[in-house]
Amino acid sequence: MSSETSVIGKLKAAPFQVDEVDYLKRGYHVEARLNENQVRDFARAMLDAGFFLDFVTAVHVTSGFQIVYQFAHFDETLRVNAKAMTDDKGEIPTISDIYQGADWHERETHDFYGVVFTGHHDLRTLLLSEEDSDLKPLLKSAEKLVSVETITRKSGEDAEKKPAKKTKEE
Amino acid sequence: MGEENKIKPINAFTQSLREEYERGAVEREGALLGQLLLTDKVLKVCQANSLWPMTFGLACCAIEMMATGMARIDMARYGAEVFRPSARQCDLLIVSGTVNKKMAPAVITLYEQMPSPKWVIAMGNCAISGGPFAVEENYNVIEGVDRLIPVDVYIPGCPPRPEALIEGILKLQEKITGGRHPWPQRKMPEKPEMIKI
Repeated sequence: MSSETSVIGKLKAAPFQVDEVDYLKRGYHVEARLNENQVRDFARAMLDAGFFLDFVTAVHVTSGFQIVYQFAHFDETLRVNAKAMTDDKGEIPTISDIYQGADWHERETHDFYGVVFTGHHDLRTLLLSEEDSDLKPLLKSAEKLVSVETITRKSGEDAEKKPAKKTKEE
Repeated sequence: MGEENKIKPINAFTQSLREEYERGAVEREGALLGQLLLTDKVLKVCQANSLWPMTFGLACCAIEMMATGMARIDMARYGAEVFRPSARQCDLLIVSGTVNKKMAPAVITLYEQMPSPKWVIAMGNCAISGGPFAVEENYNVIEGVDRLIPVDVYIPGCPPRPEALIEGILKLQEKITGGRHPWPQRKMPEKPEMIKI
């Protein structure tokens, strides 16, 4: 347990906004909120800390795309969910040169949402046929689009519930 | 060989075999050809009872197809168990599952690589009409493999049971020869209790 706390401790010491969250409610232990310029630095830090990349995907919101990266630790029971918004043009730096496994995840996200991962060496279609390269099937229709604030939990939400759980345990 | 035994072949393949025999070109393999009276009908019965399907599974229907080939169901009883991994050696393409847009060129290529005569079975609702994928939001599933290649037998089900696939093969035999069970079938003993061990 001590090493787990130390991994979390190192994450918290790094210059990223990371919060411990309730695993039973969220399915991951740590949430990181990044801006698009921090993504590559964060990926390098995760690689150094012994995490592997679980998946990369995107959420279509009014202001663009929220890119979701999930990492898990090789040795500890520790999952990290990192979220970053794309810039105004729907672009975000690639991490496929840091995590080779991100290559196809980013191509798939490009297939389905049209997110451009700048610096990616090969953004051809992966799952869709080549003639459908402009299809972007998972984009939401205008009436179903919501803002990123609507789908983001408020920062106090877990903090309120955590003490309640602790009292139960006591 | 007497003049009365001369059969008029209709099929080009039968014709060429007979010509080769009459030229004396066929010696070992075709030595019996003169007596066997290789007609189109005989040839078709042979074809119907030795269908060679392609080892080609696309989705969950392929699991049922594998079960059909295994010991419990055993499609070898109808001569269709020789799954070939090369399209050049097949005469039956069982489209067992969902064909999507990216897979479509491969399906067409495989079909074109098969030598004639060849047949296609569309197994399961996906291969027939898109099945559960035939919805408004569908963007990549081909709604029916008959949009790509000609289909001889359709087997509905999601997925169809192995018995249904056997029935599809029997239907195909019927289509090839013009009659159900072109080869004589053994009957189940009517009074099994009378079998003495």
